[in-house]
Amino acid sequence: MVFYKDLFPEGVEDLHSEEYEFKEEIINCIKKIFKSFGYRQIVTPSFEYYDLYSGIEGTLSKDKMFKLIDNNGRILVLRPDATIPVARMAATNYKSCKDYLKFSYVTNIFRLNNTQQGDKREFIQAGIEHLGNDKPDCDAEVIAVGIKSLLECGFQDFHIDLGQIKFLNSLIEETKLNKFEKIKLHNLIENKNYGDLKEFLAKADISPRLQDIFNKVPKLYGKPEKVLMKARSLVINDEMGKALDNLEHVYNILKDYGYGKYIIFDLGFTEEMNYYTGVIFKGYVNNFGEVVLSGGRYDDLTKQFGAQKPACGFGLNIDKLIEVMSMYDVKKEIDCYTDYLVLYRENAREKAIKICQDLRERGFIVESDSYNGDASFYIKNSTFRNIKEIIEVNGENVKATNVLKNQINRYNIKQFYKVLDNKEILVSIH
Amino acid sequence: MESVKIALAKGRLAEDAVKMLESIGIKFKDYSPKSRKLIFVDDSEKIKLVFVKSADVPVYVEKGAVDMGVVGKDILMENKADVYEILNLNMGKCKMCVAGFNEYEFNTNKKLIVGTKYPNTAKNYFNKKGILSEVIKLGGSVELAPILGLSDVIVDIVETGRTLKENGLVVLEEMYDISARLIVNKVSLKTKSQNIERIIEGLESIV
Repeated sequence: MVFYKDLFPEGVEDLHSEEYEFKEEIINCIKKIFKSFGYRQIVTPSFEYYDLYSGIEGTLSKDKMFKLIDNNGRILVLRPDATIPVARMAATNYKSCKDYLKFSYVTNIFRLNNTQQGDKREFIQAGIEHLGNDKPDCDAEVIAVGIKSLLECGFQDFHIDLGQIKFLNSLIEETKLNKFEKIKLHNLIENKNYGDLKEFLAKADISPRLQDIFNKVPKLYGKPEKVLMKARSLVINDEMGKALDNLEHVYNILKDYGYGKYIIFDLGFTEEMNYYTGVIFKGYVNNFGEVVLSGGRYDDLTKQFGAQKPACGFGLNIDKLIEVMSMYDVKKEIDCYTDYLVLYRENAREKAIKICQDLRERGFIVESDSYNGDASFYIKNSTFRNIKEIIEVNGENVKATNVLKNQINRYNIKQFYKVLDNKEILVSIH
Repeated sequence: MESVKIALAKGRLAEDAVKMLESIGIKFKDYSPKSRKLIFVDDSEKIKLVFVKSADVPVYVEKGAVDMGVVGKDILMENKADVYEILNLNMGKCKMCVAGFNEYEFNTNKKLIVGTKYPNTAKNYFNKKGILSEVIKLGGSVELAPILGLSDVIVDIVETGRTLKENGLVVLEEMYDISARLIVNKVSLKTKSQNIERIIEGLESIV
């Protein structure tokens, strides 16, 4: 005996028909946007070798991957990230291709998140990857696609945090700290831990001038123009200056898209996935404490698969998006329904099935069932399946019960078709 | 203007935090330490205080249910939360320590058994030091563990050391300095920046 109550792991969920339909609608809407920018959809396998992920520098923590064992004893991983497999695919299949590669995907991602914290362990991510293009225009386009996706989903009140990873990295390179101290410093800045940062800097072997700069970096966030001005005054090497130029360039292009108002700069943030090498960004919907969109430039990832393709991309967490939508009531009411339920006795089966087929061809949703001549059970239960009209076929006669209007009409089959075709002309139902 | 929600841990830390907020001009007139109410609104009605259990403060802040919170570093070390740890408030100071009997000697050949309310912190600490350890998670009265032979040592926060002393234990090693921190949700800092920065700057000037 199995207790089914215990058979439901944490972090996954059943999706009921209305919710599924809603999700599909969102996904289709986003897919259309991706397509309109020329991104072509691809699929990578649900699981790949663990080595693919573990061998890559800057990937997700290994504790967060779902692992399986192959029959030959090798370890497999359920897709924990969408970008790495796409980079792998681009590098291995299109190695010599000189043109841009523009891919899109909608896929499920599996992560062993901590339990009992309300985090999903399987979720849908939709995103794009633009490979082979190192221009700021590419970064801006990728971000613009992200912004457009949020707008099309009905959001107005959101912002994109935009940063440049090289700014902080090349600043940290100026210090003579060891690897662990550098990571610590990075974390302190990322978490805007002003207090501990000050203490850490005072203890470490860092010049007062540098200390002063490091103390200011966590405060470099807010309106782009303001942040740029403040950041320019802190530049101490070429790389930092270049990083700011690049950031400004991307921002200016985004302004031409008309999306400037959604951008906030933050020069102190990094990503969980640290394969990023340039511009990075995260999208937030106001009053919702979690990231719904994230991405950035990753020029060196394909190098690890033996190709050299600069690239930029982003992913949108569809499940989070839907969560925010229900919070904001942007969620449209989705109705799953059936237009006609056709009931027949055995002697009228052939005619009834013909009617069903004709109705389906006209684009209606039709169900059918045999019955004993008493439709009251079906009428009583019509709300559960949301059936609009019940049709009883009896010899040459058709009895149509409109459940919503509580209306009964009797026709012969010829009349029924005539009425149907007239109705179609008068009101197109779909 | 939307209100800023601040989560405080019930207890002494909360009283100190409320005092700090009052000293920067954010006053809660119906607040008293004895009140059983869990939500308070300040006099300008822009700031809401909510009282939750201390271990839950980072959870509320990380998920954005509240915008900021005051919580001890011990809690933050034990359960990593994705939040901005923006200020060291320099209050609620104490130390995370390894404690045990006075004559206890670390024996590197044997697995060390540790009783603690902070299993992750303890495990990490001993791992870093290269000491094999087995951690037993306890809910409270940790001092009992070595006395009753459940564990070799304990890891706990020590303020005055009185509880330890009265139970015949001593601090064997000081691990970390603990104090209260101001944490802020990563989204709120930007979307409600005006209000939040005003509070941060105010607190920064008095700590």
